[in-house]
Amino acid sequence: MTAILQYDFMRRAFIVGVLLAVVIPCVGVIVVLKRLSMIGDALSHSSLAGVAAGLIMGFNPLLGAGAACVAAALAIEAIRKKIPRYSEISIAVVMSAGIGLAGVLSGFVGNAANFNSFLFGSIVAISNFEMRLVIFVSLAVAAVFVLLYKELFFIALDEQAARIAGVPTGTVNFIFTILTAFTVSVAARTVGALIVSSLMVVPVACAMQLAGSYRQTVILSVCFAVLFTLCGLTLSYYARLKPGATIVLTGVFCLTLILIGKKIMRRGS
Amino acid sequence: MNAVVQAENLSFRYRDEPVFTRVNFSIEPGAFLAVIGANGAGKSTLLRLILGELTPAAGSVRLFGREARQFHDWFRVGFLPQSSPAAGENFPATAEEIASANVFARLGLFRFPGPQHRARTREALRLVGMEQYAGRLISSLSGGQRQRVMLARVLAAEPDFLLLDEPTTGVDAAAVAALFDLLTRLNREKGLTVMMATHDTERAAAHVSRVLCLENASLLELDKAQLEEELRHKHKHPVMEDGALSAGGGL
Repeated sequence: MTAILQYDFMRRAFIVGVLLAVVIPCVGVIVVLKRLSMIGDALSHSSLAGVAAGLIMGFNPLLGAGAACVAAALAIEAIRKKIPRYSEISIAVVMSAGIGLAGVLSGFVGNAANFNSFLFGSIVAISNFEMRLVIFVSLAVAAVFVLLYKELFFIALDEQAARIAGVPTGTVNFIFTILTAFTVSVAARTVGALIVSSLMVVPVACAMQLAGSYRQTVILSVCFAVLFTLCGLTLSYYARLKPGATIVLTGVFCLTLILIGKKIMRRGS
Repeated sequence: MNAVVQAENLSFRYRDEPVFTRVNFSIEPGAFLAVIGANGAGKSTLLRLILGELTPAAGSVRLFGREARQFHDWFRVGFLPQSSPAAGENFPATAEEIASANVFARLGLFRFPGPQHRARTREALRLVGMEQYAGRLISSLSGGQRQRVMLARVLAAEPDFLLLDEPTTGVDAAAVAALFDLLTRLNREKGLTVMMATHDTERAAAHVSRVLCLENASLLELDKAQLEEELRHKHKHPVMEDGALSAGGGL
């Protein structure tokens, strides 16, 4: 372990990875419980359109990703309000629009390798600016998640009941949507746009198999995500694998083990 | 003292189809009242108008003296929606966490609950007889128990007015009896105003002090004699023209 940490780029990767592993599942718990698991996918694919726009027009692709994510998130929320019973529709629509736009724009990007680094992320090659951005976004997400803990829980449980009980659901949903967008866009750079949503959903899925309460679900989700990140990064360093993809595969492997383990336990009892 | 609910010439249409036309009624503090009517007669619509979720086509409905759409003191109102069997089935939260949602909502944004708020949640769970299940996951409870947790959630915020939409659907007979006993006790001992939409006329009639009947776009308060007729499927609404065939759809 100490051998890895003598390299500056690996130290950074661990810092950024762990920070994101703490905040992404917090967003993920609410997203999963609101039955919007695919929102991460829709947002991250839309962020690629922003990345392409940034690369073409010469501004920081991460800022482009952030702007595209916020626009996509607001569009999802707007469509969801129009068709509340089939909220998946809004995600599918925005996702196709995002992919379409990213596809068209990527044709104009001169350096394809640069664009590709956003597909699977490049956590071992992030700049100072990007690291500061990750730290800032992580702190903001963590603060809002703690401050709005009870409201987010109520909305995830029953949005109508929350509104009738006096929760300002419009405001809380708006803040949460923006937050999700920022989280996804910075995570897209590090673990990759194609796999950020699995980091949002897989740790939560693991936690839900074991937790005995909502609070435990949140805490366990964070623990799982941190564990996957640490294992994934270490493994990818020694086996020369792509870090983002390794992190996610570690998570899926762990979920499979938990599901099989539960089945055996149930049969045993 | 203001009426809890005051409806004046209240009309509502669902796409050109009138749900009810020029309905008048008022609910005084401390009343225990049931709205009966067949499925689709507009009971839930009436509740949603009172909750300010729908806008009247004409007329007005006031809640504690304020137009329902402009009402803000939502902590005074508790609402138990119609429970669907799937509600909360896989939600990873304990009975206590769910029961505390309304109390915590009453705190407002950016505030953290203290021991007194937890105590109120516990008290509400005790009231509905679910205290011993406080730490259990909601998904491990039966449909009736889950409904009692939802009721505790609403009661913990100590509302003045409780609205229930079809609370007897999908719940076994013993749970229904326990629910009516509890509502009667809260109504008598704490002066809680209760309004319930139900198609279970028989059981409601035995407990409530007033019965409103929604049928053929009109609302009629049933007196004792009419209620007995309703229970025998026979009373008629004055505006009705087509006689015996559509009469008494209350059950």
